[in-house]
Amino acid sequence: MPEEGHPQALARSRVADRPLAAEVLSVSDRQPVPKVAGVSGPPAAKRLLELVTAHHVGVWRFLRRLGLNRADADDALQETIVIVARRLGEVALGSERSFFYGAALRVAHGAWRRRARRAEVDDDSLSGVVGVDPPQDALLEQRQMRELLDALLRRMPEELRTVFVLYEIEGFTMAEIARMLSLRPGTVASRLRRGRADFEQRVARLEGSSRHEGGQP
Amino acid sequence: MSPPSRLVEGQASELTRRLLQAGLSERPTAGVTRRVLVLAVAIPTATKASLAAGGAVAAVKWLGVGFLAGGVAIAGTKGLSFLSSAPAALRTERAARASASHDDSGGASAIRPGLHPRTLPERRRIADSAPPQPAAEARLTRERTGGGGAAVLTGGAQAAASRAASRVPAAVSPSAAVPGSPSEALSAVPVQSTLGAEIAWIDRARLALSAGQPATALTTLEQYRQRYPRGRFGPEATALEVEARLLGGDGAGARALAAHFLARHPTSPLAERVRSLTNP
Repeated sequence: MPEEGHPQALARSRVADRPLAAEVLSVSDRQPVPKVAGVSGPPAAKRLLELVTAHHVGVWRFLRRLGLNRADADDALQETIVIVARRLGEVALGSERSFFYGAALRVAHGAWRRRARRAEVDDDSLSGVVGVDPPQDALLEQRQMRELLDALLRRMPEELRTVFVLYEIEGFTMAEIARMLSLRPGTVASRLRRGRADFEQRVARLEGSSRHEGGQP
Repeated sequence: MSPPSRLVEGQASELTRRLLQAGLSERPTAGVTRRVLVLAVAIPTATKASLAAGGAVAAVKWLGVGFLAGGVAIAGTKGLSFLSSAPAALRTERAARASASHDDSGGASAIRPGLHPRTLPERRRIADSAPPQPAAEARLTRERTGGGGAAVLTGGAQAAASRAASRVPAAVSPSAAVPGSPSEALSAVPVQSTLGAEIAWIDRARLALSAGQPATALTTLEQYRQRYPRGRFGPEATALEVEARLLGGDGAGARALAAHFLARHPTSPLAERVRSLTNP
């Protein structure tokens, strides 16, 4: 499952999960896995475990960027894994990651339907969300930046946001996104272009308002 | 035409890059990671096995008892108390998430590093098996530094089992439904739902013990036995009853029950725990 153009940060996060995954694998190997006629056993389990180990952080993050809060993202991730587990046998080798994210997207849609959106976005102002000047504390800055990121993403049309997040944050190629979303490559390219324009315009506006409030020209 | 380079890689404004990098840096809590990894181990067999009744029982038995048994085996080697407070952790998990978005006590509270039953007086030993919530972060830190690697799985496994239990209908579950938890996917796993109800009863008893309420634990275990006379977690229920009786001051009853348990289950993974409780 290559990760073309994927940021290093994600790679680091995967490394951090490996000891635990190895431990789970090790223990699962020791535990007697029941044999059921017609049911694949440990190979399927390991395939799923490898998939989840490698990509659960990204899928969870994807769910967050789609607008789910942390608790809902936790639940949606587990729901997604159950779905993936059920259908993993139908997924071609090498397509597992896309399938995982695609399932997560469908689960997120379900979550949206089940729950009213937290806050209806009825204006275009981002004032009061968070300042753009970095606070002294790095963790606080990260949190504030994420809040701002999510506020910006919430204002983006859903079809643009999905493509934007998959490409810009999760590192999928446009071809992978097209397959995942059953879209034509041109449609993906168009949505990405419009998503980027939307995002950068809002960021520029934010930067401009920050400069204005700070007394800068 | 080559695809556009990604904004985070440098062609965007500084703020854009910071925003995207902040999005990239977010991770689920350690507890969530544990749960989904354990879920990933359990789901293929449990889910598919639900298509065949016999195998399903074995599968979920593996999920539930196997994890508990594994927990004992692992905890035994690490000097940990496995019969502690995973359910408490589950109940407090959302509150903990609200207050500490980068931390999670989900699996951590099942761990009691450094506490060996033999080192404490009988009653205090059991009462202390309910770790105070503020200690969760310290425990989690120890886990992250590698001190409790195997036990992490134990906690996560119990949490996963408990989480599955939280998805059973309120009519059969003794536990309050977890607000906002998705039910559709897991409710399609009938065997897990059935077993989940049993697990929930056991977890409730363990929760009561963790909260220092032996009478509630005993009542819960009695209700469990009435509801499931052929329950799959009879040994676990008995082990918990031993602990509850000790905590409630019924040392003689606890020892008699322990002797009965050890006679019936001398090689059970729970046997070591029961022995340590009644023969410190």
